[in-house]
Amino acid sequence: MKNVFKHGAITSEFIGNSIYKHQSKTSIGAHNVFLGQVRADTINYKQVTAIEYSAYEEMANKKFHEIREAAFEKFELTCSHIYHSIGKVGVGEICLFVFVSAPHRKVVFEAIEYLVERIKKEAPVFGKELFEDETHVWKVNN
Amino acid sequence: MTIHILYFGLIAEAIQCSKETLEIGNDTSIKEIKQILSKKYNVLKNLSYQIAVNQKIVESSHKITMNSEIAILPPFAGG
Repeated sequence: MKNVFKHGAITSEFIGNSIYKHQSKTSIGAHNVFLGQVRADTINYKQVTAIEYSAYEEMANKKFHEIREAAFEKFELTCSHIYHSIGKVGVGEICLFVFVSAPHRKVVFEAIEYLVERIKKEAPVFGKELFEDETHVWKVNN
Repeated sequence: MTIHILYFGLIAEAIQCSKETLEIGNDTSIKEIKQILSKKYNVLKNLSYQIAVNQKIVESSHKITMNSEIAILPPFAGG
């Protein structure tokens, strides 16, 4: 089972390199990328400085695999990749990178939404929103 | 029979425990596990969570088998 988790933020170098690696796959005509970024929310007059992610990693990796497989069945995709942060990610940094590629553009728009919505809803990933004063609240997806 | 329980996120924080082994009767259902855990950890009564058995979310009628891995999962926050 592929490990989707990466420690800390997902860097722009990593994202750029992932795109570069697909240049050899010349049946691809369209990529689409979703990047989740940690937002500096204000909660009870305090600003979030980072999110510390934890997960039920074994189950999450299985779930990410299942979601990817379902996307391949549903859409005509050439490639699909998911990376999620584990550990601390500062505001403004990237915590989720979803990347889909296909011969033609239309499916990549639909596929990315399908993948991201299922990840948010079904992956057992937990997030602690940290404040400057070292207190925290637990984040919940809508 | 023996089961292994894992706690995550705000649940683990609230009960100050991330894993433990419990002895329960045969044919215990998820609903009964919830009652056992609520008795052990009063705070659980006020928290919302789902339960996974061997890494699959299950309904409250699900019966637990020996050596199962039970995970107590608070609301998800991925992405």
